[in-house]
Amino acid sequence: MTGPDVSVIVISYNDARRLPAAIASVQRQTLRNVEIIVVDDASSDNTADVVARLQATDPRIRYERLATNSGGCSAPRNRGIDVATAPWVMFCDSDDEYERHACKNLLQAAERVDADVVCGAAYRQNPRSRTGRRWHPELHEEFRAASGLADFPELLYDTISVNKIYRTSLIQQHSLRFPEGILYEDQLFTLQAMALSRRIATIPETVYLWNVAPIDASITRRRSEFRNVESRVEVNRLIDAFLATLDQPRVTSVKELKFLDHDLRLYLTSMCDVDDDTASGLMERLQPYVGSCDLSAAWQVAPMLRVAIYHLLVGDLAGVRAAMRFLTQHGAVAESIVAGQGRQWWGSSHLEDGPDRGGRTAREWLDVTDLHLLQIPMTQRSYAHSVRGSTGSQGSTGSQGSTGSQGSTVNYAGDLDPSTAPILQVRCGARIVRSVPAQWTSTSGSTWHWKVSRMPRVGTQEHVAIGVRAGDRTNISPVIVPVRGQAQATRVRKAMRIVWAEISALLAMALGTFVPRSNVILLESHAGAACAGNVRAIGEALHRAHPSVAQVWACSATAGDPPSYARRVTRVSWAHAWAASRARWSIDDGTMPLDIRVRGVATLVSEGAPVRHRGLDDPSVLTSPSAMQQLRRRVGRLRMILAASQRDVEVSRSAWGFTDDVTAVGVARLDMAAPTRAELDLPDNRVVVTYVPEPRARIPFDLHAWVEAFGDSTYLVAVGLEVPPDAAWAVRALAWHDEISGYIATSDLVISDYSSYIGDACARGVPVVLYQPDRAVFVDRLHGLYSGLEVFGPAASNQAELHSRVTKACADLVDERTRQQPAREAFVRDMVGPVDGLAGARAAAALVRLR
Amino acid sequence: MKPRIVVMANNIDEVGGAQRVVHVVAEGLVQRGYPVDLVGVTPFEPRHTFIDNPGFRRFTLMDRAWPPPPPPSDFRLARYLLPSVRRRQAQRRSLTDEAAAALTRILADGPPGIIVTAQLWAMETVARTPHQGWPVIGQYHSSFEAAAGGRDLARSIELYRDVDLVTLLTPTDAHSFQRAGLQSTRWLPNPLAFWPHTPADPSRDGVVTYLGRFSPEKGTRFLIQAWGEIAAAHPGWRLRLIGSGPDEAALRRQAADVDGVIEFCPPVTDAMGALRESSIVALPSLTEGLPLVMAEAMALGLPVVATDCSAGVRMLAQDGHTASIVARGDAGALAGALRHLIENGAERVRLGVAARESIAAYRIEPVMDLWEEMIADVLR
Repeated sequence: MTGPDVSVIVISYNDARRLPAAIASVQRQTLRNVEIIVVDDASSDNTADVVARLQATDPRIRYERLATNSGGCSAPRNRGIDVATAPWVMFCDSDDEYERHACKNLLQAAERVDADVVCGAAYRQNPRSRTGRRWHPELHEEFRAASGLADFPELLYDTISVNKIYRTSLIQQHSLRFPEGILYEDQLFTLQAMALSRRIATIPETVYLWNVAPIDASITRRRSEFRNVESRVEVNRLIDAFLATLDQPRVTSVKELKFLDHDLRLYLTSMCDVDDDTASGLMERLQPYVGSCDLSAAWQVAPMLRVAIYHLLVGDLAGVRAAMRFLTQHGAVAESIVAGQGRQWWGSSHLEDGPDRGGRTAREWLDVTDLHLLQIPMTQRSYAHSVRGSTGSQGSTGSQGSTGSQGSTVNYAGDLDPSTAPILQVRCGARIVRSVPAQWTSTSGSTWHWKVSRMPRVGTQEHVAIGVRAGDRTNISPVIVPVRGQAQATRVRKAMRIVWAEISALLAMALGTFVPRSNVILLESHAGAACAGNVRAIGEALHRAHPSVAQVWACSATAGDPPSYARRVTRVSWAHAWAASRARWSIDDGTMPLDIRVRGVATLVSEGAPVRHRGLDDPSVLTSPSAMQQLRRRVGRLRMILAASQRDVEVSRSAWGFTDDVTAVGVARLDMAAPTRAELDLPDNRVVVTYVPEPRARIPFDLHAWVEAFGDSTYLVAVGLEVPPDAAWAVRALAWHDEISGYIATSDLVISDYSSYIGDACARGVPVVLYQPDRAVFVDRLHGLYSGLEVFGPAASNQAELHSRVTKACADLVDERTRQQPAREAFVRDMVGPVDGLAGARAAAALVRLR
Repeated sequence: MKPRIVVMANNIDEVGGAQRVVHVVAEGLVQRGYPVDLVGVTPFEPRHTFIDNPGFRRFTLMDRAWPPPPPPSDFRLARYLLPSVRRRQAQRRSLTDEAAAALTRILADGPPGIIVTAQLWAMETVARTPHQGWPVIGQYHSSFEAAAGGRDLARSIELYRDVDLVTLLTPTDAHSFQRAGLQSTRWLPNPLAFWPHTPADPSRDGVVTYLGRFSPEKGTRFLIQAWGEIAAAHPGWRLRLIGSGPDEAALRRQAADVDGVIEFCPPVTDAMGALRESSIVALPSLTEGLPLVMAEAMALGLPVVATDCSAGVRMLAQDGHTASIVARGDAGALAGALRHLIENGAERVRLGVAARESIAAYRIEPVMDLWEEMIADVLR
């Protein structure tokens, strides 16, 4: 037998408790032919005995001991390198573990492409729950090989040493060793190894389980400690010196970017959390190195990070913290914005500062025009609110002293209304739990102070939000501070709550069997996330025609309130089950929980124009036993379906395999009057475009490309997308359970793919642009479409095509409207049904007919 | 000395695709000099013998059939309380214990080697049996999408978390399962049972064949619907449905309304023989792994109309080059593709020739080379 394939170097210092687990993870490897070199950094515990016991049963284990403790990871790893005999070497720390196939996956990849260094994914996990996430997942999407670091400089973001395999001869040839005496030693070593490799590769597999305790005591993670920041600076100096000898400008520029965007960002963020002295200490230690850097990379990072770096350079701690708030608190603006000459700047105190070493002026550093903070519609802004004192869940501390009842708001755009008092709300999601009026007390600069007479109680899963007014608009922004009482309920308590809710619901159903049914209707929409859409419109029509029918809405705890005439019950609870037992009717849009038994007439409301395949027509349902079982149970208890058009009646029959009562009533949400743009706070002077795709896991829409192309001329209302703070001026996100139809009614243009909201756009006379980039997968491979969309002609199949169509449509909206009118009318006739404002009334009449 | 290999499947006696594959693989391993045991978990009557005088031993772990699951109930408590449910559970427990004991005896009966589990339930039995020193290769014979649509994905990740290697039918599936949490996946196709030396003749007019189970996920109803659109214009052609299954009665009713010839035939053991008589083979499935029927039809030089339902189908053939591939669950598209081939004999021959050439990679020899390579890697 030849020598081992891989030498695994496991380092340990006084960690005899966890070391066996680390060693066992190497012994368990599916690659059997390894040597395990345990290097003991002169531990004073029984590490030697523990290893000796393991050696007795496994001859692959070797033991090395340093004479004196080195105090770091470098010296033991270097000793391991010195004694390694295999052609490949890997490193493992005593408190972590390898994934079972780590060695084999890395070795085979290295052999396959003849690479010198191969990098796998590390999984940062909580050692107790073993949950966590991958470290830099974007580097490990799939296998990738590159000829050297210059071809794959992004790998610089992953310079930990433990998730990689290294060719021993490369290390020996260049005499690579970990630098001793500092932390972050692996950043230099790994970077050198990768930079000197002829070939490097990454694999998608997870190879390293990196245990990160929630309150971390491991030496390298205490970022706020000065030794830590000093090491970080020192290792960056060493890296800079090494890169200077290498002459690879691409690698150097990525390294500079990574330093600002990752390393420095960590310290700037932690400056917000630590006390003033520590923060100033961090600043002092960072300033000289940061000041000596080239810093042209600061114009490639987020604008607000650049602003924070500037405040670091000039030693303004409060400025750093205000800027970092934007990055860590959903774009909260904690500084006034100065506008002029078509530009916008962050704050006024540094604007007249002189140029820096590189000749860049303060105005260049502080230019935040790209964020367009003043253009964000008032209701969508993120005001920086602070609450002084604490808001505890136990009692209201605020009422006991004056400090707990005060707070401040940064009036960054200078448009807040001094005559209208702010309102403090305690919310659970969209639901307002408590609401307390506050008063403005004083102003200092752009910061306005307020107080409340009594701080309300904040329960678990609740948060505090402040409502402020400018003109006739109200903005409600959350207060993001570590407020006591917002602590997450423990898992046990959550489970208990669910068990209790289910048991009481069962009990209610059992008792409910014996109560007579009464004039009650149970309503639910969007799986309880809101009281909206077709179901709400039908409920309103029913209330107008039959006010004696009591309406009960089943909502989740975070949903906004139902209409004032209706009662609210929590979904899956005693009250819900009881209402379901008593109700003469129930109506929902297809998500009512199956375990809540409905004794009355169960009615399903179609979502509108049938576009994508539903139910039994959808191959992905047919091939999923669980979906089929759910569908059968749901249809089994149905008594009536309220469809949109005659076509929708046919579709409902085939899609649900339902032969009973299917009635075409139209689309009830279209009964609601169109809101005005002012009501929705949509800009008057821009083209408003609504993007409403069919819900799916990954919506193929590049928001940044859109903002770049259309940010200046249009305002986009996008359903189901996440809108980052730097796009908030041009895009607004809606959830699927919002009243999308209202936004469509005020739009100039609608973009959609396979959504039934295409019918809403047609009925409201809004031109439609079809955008189906994933048609080959979504339609051909997964779901399929009903016919009907053909009237609009072929859809845009990529975003460039979408942009050119939108440009054309926006050039002459009136012409676009007229040109598409016949197609829209045909679609409404076939798919949507009558649009006369009476769909809800027809549905209500059909409903009360059945008892 | 080559290691002993124990190949496990849910059952090894039923006439079905999975059973055929494990027999072919077991015999292939025997030909390469490995001692092989083929083990089924549960018995099936009547027993079908796939290979005469096999070079491997055959075992079945349970001596009685597995009791079917209880009917679903809204009340979760029923699972713990109803006597009939409890009885069934006790029966199942005793059967699984029995199976583990039987497998222990089989493993002890010879030197340790490698366990290959072709199906998830077989892996459940292995997991309950002490098998220290035996590397395990887990297999999954359906597509990732199919697994994700049901309970299989969670089950396979749970069961295969600690095995040495998991093989999937295509590189795409291997990648998808890796992303879902299995860190040691590899691509390994199923081999063709044998290579037909003379190809079939697709140039003559005649028969469109479907061969497979009659169940919802096979999409047979779309094929009958499609036939309704084209049959009247092509009276010389027949649609032949070979198989059996839960949907048979419904399909016969549907076929009765169609204006055209549709024949129903019982399942056959000689798939290639049945396919040889056709001019076109249709595969209207909504989900598939690496469909063997399609591979066999291609090996016979027959044109195939298949649905774009899995990475396996996409790997076997390219639309327009080696088969005709249409959207799944779309009778109109299926009818269009069939009509095009029915009306165009030369196109049938062209597709068939290209198909036969491209499918040679799935002959037993190259696939067994991959097996040997994989076994060497596992033992490394």
